[in-house]
Amino acid sequence: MDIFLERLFDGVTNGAVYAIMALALVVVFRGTGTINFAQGEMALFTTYVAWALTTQDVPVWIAALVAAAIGFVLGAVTERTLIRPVRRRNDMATLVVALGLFTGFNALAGLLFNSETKTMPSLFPGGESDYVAVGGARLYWDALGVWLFVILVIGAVFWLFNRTRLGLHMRAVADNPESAALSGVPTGRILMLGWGLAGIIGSLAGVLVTPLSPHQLSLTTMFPILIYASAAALFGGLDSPIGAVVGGLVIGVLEMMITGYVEFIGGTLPQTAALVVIVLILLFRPTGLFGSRQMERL
Amino acid sequence: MSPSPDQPPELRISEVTLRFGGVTALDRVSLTVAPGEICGLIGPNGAGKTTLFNCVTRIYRPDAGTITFGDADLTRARPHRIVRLGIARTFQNLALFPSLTVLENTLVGAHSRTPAGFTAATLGWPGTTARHRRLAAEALDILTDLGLRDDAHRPAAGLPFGTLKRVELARALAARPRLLLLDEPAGGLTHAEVADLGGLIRRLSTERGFGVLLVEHHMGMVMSISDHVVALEFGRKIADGEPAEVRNSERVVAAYLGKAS
Amino acid sequence: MSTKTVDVPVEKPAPAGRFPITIVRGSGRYRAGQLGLVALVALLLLAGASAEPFRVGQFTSVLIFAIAISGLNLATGYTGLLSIGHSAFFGLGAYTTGILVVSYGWEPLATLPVGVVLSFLIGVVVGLPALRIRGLYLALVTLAVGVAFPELVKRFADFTGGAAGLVIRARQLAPPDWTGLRLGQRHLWLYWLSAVILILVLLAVRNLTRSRVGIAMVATRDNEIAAAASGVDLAVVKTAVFGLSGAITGLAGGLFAMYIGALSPDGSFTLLKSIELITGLFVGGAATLLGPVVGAFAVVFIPYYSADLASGHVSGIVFGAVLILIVFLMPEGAVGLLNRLGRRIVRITTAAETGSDAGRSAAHSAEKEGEPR
Repeated sequence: MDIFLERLFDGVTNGAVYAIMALALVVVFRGTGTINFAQGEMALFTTYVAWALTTQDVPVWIAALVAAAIGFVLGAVTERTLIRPVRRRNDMATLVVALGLFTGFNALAGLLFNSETKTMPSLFPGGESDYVAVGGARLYWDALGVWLFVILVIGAVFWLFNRTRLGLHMRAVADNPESAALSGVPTGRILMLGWGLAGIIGSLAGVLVTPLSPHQLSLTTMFPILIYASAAALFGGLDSPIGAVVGGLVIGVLEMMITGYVEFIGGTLPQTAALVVIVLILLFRPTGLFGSRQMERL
Repeated sequence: MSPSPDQPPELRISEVTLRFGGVTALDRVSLTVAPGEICGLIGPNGAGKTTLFNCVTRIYRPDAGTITFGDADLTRARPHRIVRLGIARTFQNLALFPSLTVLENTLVGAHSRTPAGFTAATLGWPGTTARHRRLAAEALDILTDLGLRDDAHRPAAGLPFGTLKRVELARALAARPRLLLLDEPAGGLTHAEVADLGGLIRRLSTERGFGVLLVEHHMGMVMSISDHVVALEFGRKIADGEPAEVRNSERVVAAYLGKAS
Repeated sequence: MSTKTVDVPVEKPAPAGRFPITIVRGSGRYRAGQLGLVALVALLLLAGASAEPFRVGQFTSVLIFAIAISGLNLATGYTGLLSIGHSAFFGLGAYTTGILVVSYGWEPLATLPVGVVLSFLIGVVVGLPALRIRGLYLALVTLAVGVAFPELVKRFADFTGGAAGLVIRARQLAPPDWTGLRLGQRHLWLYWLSAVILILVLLAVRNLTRSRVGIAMVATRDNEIAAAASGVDLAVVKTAVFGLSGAITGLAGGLFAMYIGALSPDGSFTLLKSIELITGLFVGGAATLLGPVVGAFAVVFIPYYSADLASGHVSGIVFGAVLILIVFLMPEGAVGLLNRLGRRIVRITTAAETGSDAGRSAAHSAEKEGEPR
């Protein structure tokens, strides 16, 4: 029972990270109608920067904030210079640009920080004895810290979208850019803000997940996270934040349970399994389990 | 009551209902296009005219009701079979293929007429090329008839709007339809062009033997070329009869101009 | 989706004057041009073959990737189905050849058709989601396929050699007796084999894309709904195209196995390879006949030249930068650009257009070899 609980805790912790990464993807999709394939690698890059700062004796929290700030700038600048000009052209162009960013950022991180695996210090106390006992299982502080942090982020995003004017503008732009523009909403700035926000969320995801074992900071760390986050986002048809969060948690828990209990699926096959499940969802419920049916005007 | 063999079939739309979430876009709409006649479909914006078209061509699936074309039940057919059953359409906002030439755009319309197999095409079977030549020749004839011969080999992208409307018409004609669904063909045209268009539709309908269901805002054209007119408002049919009768119907006038009170 | 636009550079009307020179299809000048082209290709191939073995190997690699990218071109270029997982077909073809040769003693050449058929079937299966989901979602599905392939290879290690890889002994890849080549001339055997297969593939692609099926493919890309309303069976087109696309890339994979002799799942069959194929496609020119050949040069030589600089990461940056630059500066790709400029100089038309032969029925629209759609 205690092993089950520990697996559950690990699953929820991982799931929480997938959830906020999925949120970042949803923010971008609602704003620009495309998925930012490069979200993971941009987060990787900012996490490397944060790591580099910690090696210079900068406190982890400050490093994390710097990473978030850089994530914001990267996101906003990318939207303005690379995505917006191409977006109206055709769907494929945006995806191709995102792919280019994916490759580019990964390689850039490798170039600047070399490919050795690094250890990223945690934002929370992560010692051997820093845990609380729950039902015979150990719930480590750093896991709990991640949960709380993620709840904060999710809460902040929901508050932003549903209770602030900025959030209202963002939803308007995502829904109908032309009408929003006509109503005086500064659509350009809103789009940049959206991507910037996604950049912050992604950076936070990176800083949160890399200290957790077995994740470490290396060039391949963020890719599986992106896969799981994409799968989680698809739970909500890419435009439902609730769906993304639920999806993330479900996937995180399932991953831990399956790798723990089922022999056949080991190593990195869970990623594939996650994607297969999503493909099946897309085939039978194309708008995801939580998303809204979208109508097209002809 | 079956039509004679060379007469096009009758389109019968019966009690068609379609809902989008909480909005009822079409509410028990029924109308019949008699074999070979030109039927005008009018109504203010949002009345459901294009939605009705989309039901006929199976872009949408009605929640209730039936649509038959002669003996064929359209509500069961897959979208690409509709044209095979003899119904071709144009689109309100133009739906051409920008990277293809005018001729190629027209040729796509003929796609349903003879099989185009992958294997045969890849291997360059002589039969395939001959068929292609024949269909291209027919397409060129249609283009000539519509005054588009000179544009045949230009890419569709970048051509004037009026030209592109005719290309869409050409594409629909290439399918040798028995019924043509025209969605606001006069949109964006000048008065002179509209008059020409009206005459063109009548001539083609008689010459090539097809019926027409025409959505149009240009009252003059609709009234002058239609054999019968149907009016929709908020997804419901509010008038159905001779052009003059419908034009003078109080309900129709009220729908367009709003009720005075 | 119905307002999806496509990058079509609008052509400026040709200036009056000597240019463009018109050449009528089937005329004397046209035939001379065709002959000249054949001679040129033959000369280039012979020149390539006479280089030193290492270079010949590089050229073979270019030929193989040209085939792989041609496959991708059918699905992504002509039909608009973006696939980020074509590395899986490449790998499927390669491992089919590898396993059949190593574990079952097959003749390498005989394994190629098997790889083609398998890749076709898997391609059709992967294409099935395309029926219900749109471009972006389809890209995610193909991503799944591309990511899954190396994992599956590693999982079934007994069969495939797993992460350690699969090695095909040189002797098993020796040129067949009928070629008259010795074991040490294996590089020439693969060079010419790849060249011949590339030419056959290009001919097949040319036939397909010029036919009404080809027009249907482009129509599907430009406007699905209108295509369906015109009678194009989207289901058949999409699945068949994906099958064919996978099959051609799988064929390239089989050749690759024969060429490289040592397969490793994380070597050439990962997501990065998919991205390289896409880069090659867009650099060369999507939806053009010869674009994949040009793109293959980029795919082979960019890593080669950047490998020396800073442990290979530079090639990733270059690929990323190239992808972005191409989208901005040259979305039609090198061959697309050349075609457009070339049309100012030479225009190939049919007899009917120039009115020079009333007896000939009007045929295909004016297009030069490899013209983008």
